[in-house]
Amino acid sequence: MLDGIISGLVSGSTYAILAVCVVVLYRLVGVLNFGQAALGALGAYVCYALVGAEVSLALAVFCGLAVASVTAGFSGWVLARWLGEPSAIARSVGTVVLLILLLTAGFRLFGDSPRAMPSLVPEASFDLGGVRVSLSTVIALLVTIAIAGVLSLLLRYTQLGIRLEAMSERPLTVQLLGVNSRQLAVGVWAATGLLSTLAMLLIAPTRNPTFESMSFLVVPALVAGLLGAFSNVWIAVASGLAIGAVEGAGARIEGLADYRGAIPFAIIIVALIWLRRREVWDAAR
Amino acid sequence: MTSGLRVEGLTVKRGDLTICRDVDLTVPKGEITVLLGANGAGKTTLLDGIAGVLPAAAGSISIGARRIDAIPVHRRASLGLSYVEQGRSVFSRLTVVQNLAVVDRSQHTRDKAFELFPRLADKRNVRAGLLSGGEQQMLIIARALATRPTMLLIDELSLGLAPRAVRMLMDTLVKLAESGMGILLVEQFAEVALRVGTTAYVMERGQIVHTDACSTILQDHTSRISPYYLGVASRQQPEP
Ligand SMILES: Nc1ncnc2c1ncn2[C@@H]1O[C@H](COP(=O)(O)OP(=O)(O)OP(=O)(O)O)[C@@H](O)[C@H]1O
Ligand SMILES: [Mg+2]
Repeated sequence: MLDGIISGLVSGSTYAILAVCVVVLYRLVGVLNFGQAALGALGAYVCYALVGAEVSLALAVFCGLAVASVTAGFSGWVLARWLGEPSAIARSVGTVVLLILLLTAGFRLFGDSPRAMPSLVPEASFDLGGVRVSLSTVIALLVTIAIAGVLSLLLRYTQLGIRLEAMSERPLTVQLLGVNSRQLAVGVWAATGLLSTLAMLLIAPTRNPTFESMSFLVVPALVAGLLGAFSNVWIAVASGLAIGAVEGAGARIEGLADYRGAIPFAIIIVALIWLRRREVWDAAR
Repeated sequence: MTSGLRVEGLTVKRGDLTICRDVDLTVPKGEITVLLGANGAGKTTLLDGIAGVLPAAAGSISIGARRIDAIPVHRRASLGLSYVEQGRSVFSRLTVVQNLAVVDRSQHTRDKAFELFPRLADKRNVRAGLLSGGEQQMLIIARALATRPTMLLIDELSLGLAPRAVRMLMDTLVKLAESGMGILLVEQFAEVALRVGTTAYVMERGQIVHTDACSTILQDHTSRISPYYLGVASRQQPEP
């Protein structure tokens, strides 16, 4: 059981990082990105395709991160260009189109068979109070916390962070003050593309997922974001890790293992009931 | 005069609806120019057009010798045009200091803002959403000044403020104009604006229908301006 929870933390880190991306993009740019995980999947698959073509791992990772950032930034630019004025709902539906486009492209480029993926972290594990803990779990956790921490500090203490916060409230006013807010929004998109790829590179070696199954990791990420009301990065991180841990534990329980994919949905339902009970649901924009 | 803001034949639409038609207007440096008109006359739409929030459907806008009507909003701001929107457009979750920092984090900007509005210095770390209406308007002016504008467009500064706060803000605008800035001041209730302004334009149904010196309009109670001046003008609808 404890083994299951610990091993689930790798997936949990991926959900947590994706959730951070979803929350940051929603809070700052007003878009709920259903294509968040698919952007990461694109980056990860580019990386593995290059590794398969005998490119060095470092260069492959760099290219994967770059492709995902550029694609994300371009998507953000397109959405701002054509759906800038209409509601947040219109823009969010636009990201469903992005998801479908990426799924199609991923299928064409990479097929739908899972492939073995090299780990970025050396295989190693150690014993902690009778439980086997792998190095990749520790690294995944550290990366997650570092990302959330750095983003929080950046948003709170830098001028860029202040501008982004201002933009989330009054994008036009920020522009009238001489700041190119579309550029800022595109930058946020690009950053989330990069971080999503990082998230996928963490999880891929443990699951060897297809492009499609990777893309749908956005579901637990959305759940984790929802639990933080799409505004709190740290609640999103904790929720992402918790979902991973619950899944990991579930996988070790006879009879439950087959249904563990449904865990995020169960959590959504419980969360919605809980949030409504406290009447926060309306205020959550 | 080529040093100020010059608007010629400007037409501004919202969607398919033409709101402002063929507007000519100049805002010289060192003066306050007043734009009057009833609710719905098209004052805000005209300012939106000048600042680039809405595109110019026809006509030209220039600052000095430079045409700006095809330049995006944020670049117009860096060319010295600053627009204070209608309504209290503070960033409510940010503090006073952070509101200024959106434009510029320098100590100099902060000092200048607090010199102009000492009230803000006492509230520097208060969230802007918690300031009084007058303090919010002070912050908005200070924030606009942080962009170091040569031209300041102000929409309904006095809306909902106590007479004392209005007088205080108007005094500030006079000082700014004396320091060489050009100001276009939109007011619905005209008397305060006419007392500080040099030239006034009157807008009706999206067109400039009258221009005169502010002092003349103030004295001439029988002119067609008096309905605005008294603040009893009925709501005007623009022609479709
Ligand atoms: N978003 C919009 N879409 C369509 N028409 C609009 C929109 N905003 C304003 N209008 C119309 O444009 C006309 C001019 O509006 P505008 O806000 O420019 O007037 P105003 O002179 O600033 O009025 P007020 O003194 O009330 O601020 C009005 O008749 C209004 O109904
Ligand atoms: Mg108006």
